[in-house]
Amino acid sequence: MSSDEGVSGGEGRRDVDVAAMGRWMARGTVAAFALALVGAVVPGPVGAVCAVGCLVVLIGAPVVRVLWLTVGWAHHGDRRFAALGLVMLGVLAVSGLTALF
Amino acid sequence: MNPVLLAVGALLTAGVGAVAGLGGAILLVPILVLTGTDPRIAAPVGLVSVAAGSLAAGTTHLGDRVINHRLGVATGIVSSSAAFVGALVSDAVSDAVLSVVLGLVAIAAAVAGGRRKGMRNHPDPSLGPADVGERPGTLAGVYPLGDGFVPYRARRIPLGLVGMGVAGLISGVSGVGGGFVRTPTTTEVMHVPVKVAAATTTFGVGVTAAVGLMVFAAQDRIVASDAALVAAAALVGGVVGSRLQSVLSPAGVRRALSAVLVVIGVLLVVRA
Repeated sequence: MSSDEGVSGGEGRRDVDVAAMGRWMARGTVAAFALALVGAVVPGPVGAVCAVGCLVVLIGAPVVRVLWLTVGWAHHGDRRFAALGLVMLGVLAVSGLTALF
Repeated sequence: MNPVLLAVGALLTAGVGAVAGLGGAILLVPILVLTGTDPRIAAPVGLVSVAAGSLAAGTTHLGDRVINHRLGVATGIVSSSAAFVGALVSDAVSDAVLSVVLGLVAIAAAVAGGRRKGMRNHPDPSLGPADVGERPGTLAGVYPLGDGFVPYRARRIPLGLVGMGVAGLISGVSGVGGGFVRTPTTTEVMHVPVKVAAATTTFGVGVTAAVGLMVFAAQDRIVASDAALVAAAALVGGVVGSRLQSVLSPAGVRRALSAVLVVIGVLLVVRA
């Protein structure tokens, strides 16, 4: 591969399966939407539980995504970015825990 | 809060956020505050909209192979750390000063992006569908544009990371997402194509929003039924916005970004 932009390095190396990640994100989106709809229109404890479930999906999805990327990069030998993924997860954990406690 | 205003606002701002890579809270929160919502309630609602828009847009962006996750994680470390520091010192900055500064930053970013003509990154005829995606071990990649395939590489990374730090500080101090600084920094400083920058920022602000929502949940500032309504509307807005982005030209996305940034800038200055 050649180009004026100098995109070299990494050609031919295997990478994270983004198609699989996309399929899981689509399922997460449908689940979050269903929970959100019930949470918005159904009164009482059922609605409240679904609203909280929707929030759990919204908070958990990006964290799972970074974890997925980190594991995938490590698995495919991209150690530098796997380390950055770990640092990102660490920043998320420290920020979240500090805010909570 | 008026549920119709909440749903329509979340739908529109999440859609615009997904097109331009802005997140959407920077638009939704001022609208809610200007229409009488308590800022302590408006901020978490804004972050719910960002998280939902990011999740919904991700499916389309992943299918189009326009996200650069390595760039998103590398810049996200800096902006998330800075956001954390910003949150710790947020009491030291007055709201009025902050709003004016944010407004001027947004307008400057709009002018910088809007003045530029043409494309920096052009399709390379030697590239094919098999080349599309990120380059492992680098901050480079190839994305599809029409019938062609465009290579790119993040440039001036140290300066770009400074911009991400500023975006994070703003985010932490103000309680809104930093997407309106991150996307222009990625395009104008790091020379990443606007579609890749917008998609990558949409991923990044979703991660930052997750942390913010944990904090707000711990502070008991989230009204679950309002959050559910906003999430449902923003999920639809995110899907529509990301699909719109995939059919717009890069120049069209850049113009949309500039127009929205001007609106944000004016809203912020008026709010101050």
